[in-house]
Amino acid sequence: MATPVVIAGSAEHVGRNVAIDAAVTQCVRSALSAAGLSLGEIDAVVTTGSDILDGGMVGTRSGIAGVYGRELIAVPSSGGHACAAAVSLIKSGQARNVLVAGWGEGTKFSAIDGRSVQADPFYARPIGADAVAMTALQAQRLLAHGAVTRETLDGYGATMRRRAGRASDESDGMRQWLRPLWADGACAIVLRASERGVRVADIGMSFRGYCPEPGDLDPAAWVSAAMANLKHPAHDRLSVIEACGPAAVTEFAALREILTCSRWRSDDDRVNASGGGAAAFFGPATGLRHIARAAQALSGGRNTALAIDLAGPIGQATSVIVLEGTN
Amino acid sequence: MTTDAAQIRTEVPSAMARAASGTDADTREIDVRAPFRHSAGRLGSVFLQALRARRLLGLKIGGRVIVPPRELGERSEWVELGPGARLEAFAPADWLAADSDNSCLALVTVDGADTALLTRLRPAVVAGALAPGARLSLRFAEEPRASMTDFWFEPVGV
Repeated sequence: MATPVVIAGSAEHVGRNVAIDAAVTQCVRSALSAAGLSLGEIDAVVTTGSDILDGGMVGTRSGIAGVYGRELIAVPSSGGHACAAAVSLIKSGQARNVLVAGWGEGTKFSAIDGRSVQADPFYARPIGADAVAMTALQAQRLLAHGAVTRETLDGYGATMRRRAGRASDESDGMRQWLRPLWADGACAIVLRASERGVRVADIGMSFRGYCPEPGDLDPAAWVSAAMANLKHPAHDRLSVIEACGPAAVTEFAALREILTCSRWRSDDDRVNASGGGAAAFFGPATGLRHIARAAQALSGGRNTALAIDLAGPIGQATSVIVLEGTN
Repeated sequence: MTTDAAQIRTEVPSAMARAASGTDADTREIDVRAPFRHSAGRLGSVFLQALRARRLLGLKIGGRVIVPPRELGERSEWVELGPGARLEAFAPADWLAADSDNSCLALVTVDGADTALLTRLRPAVVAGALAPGARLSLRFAEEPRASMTDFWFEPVGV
């Protein structure tokens, strides 16, 4: 029987203009404390941060996270992928206790021209295909096809901002769901080989390139593809859903794949109780925060949670992670 | 990247930086600007150079015509695309900051291609002004420069 992997502890530190080095230190210490472990008991470290803006800091911040003398995997694509790598280390018997640390300075994205960080200088960058324009393209198609309505998006965006305590930010309806609410932050999770605690029951992932085909603009398709890779379908038994994407329209469109039987309602605290990406989107590592939040909700007595990580403006790295309470 | 091409600026640690870090740790701020050289690759180079001759090429490979070309390691041949196209989606001009050339980002399927292409739609249109499926026509710049900005699409009959 496969080794069960549990989330033994987690911590986050997010906001605007957060000092990331200090945030990483604080998160790692707090997550280890919550797990009842010392750094000396950690066998391997998995780090995750944006390879575009934070890439040059991976070495330094991995050091701050405590990697010296331990195995390190640096995963730039997403928090979900980092979590999957950590689980694989434990299930393969290579480690028993793994620290996953992620960070991002999302405010840098809002401070510079997005096109200046595009890696593709031939096909996307010259025509202005930055993250916000791609999200607008995606939203236009969803609205034009009747997949979502403007009223629903306005309501979802406003609800997420209110839950995130950011209701006063930019009250214009469309901006609430179209544009990322960049933040800075860090998160750390400790995973253990153990029978007791919130278990990482299943992980599904899907990938795609930056140049989309028309159907690829619907985040529900990304989630559907990732869900199809789960060993055990989880739609019918979810008591907690945490989704995070760079913009609320991406999140909401993705949630349609999960909520086909029960339409989303603004008073449904089963879905994104923390406010989703509106609470703090600090880049590809943000999904780690939502995995931690989902685990915390299960510690409160609920049974099964799904964390949906929508890293990349057009779903380049989508993960669905099923967590199960064992108490 | 060559070392001498990189510009590295180092500032002395400041009380402000230490305060910002939230710790007593000493800090340095560095600003690194380094040039990178990208290659369009064998197929991409053909595609881009064809734009100079005002030709939009797709790559027929594995029974599909894809654009822009991707190196899939299979036997392939070039086919000319357009000038007609179908609109799939666009970034409405009233949702984003205005572009100086009165165009907006769009995803179109060019006649003869099986995949959609990210490109520019001109003139820029607002949300609701065009529906998916609208017919478009390919236009080229007077002086193409082997760039994706050499061409754009315009609505037909609007």
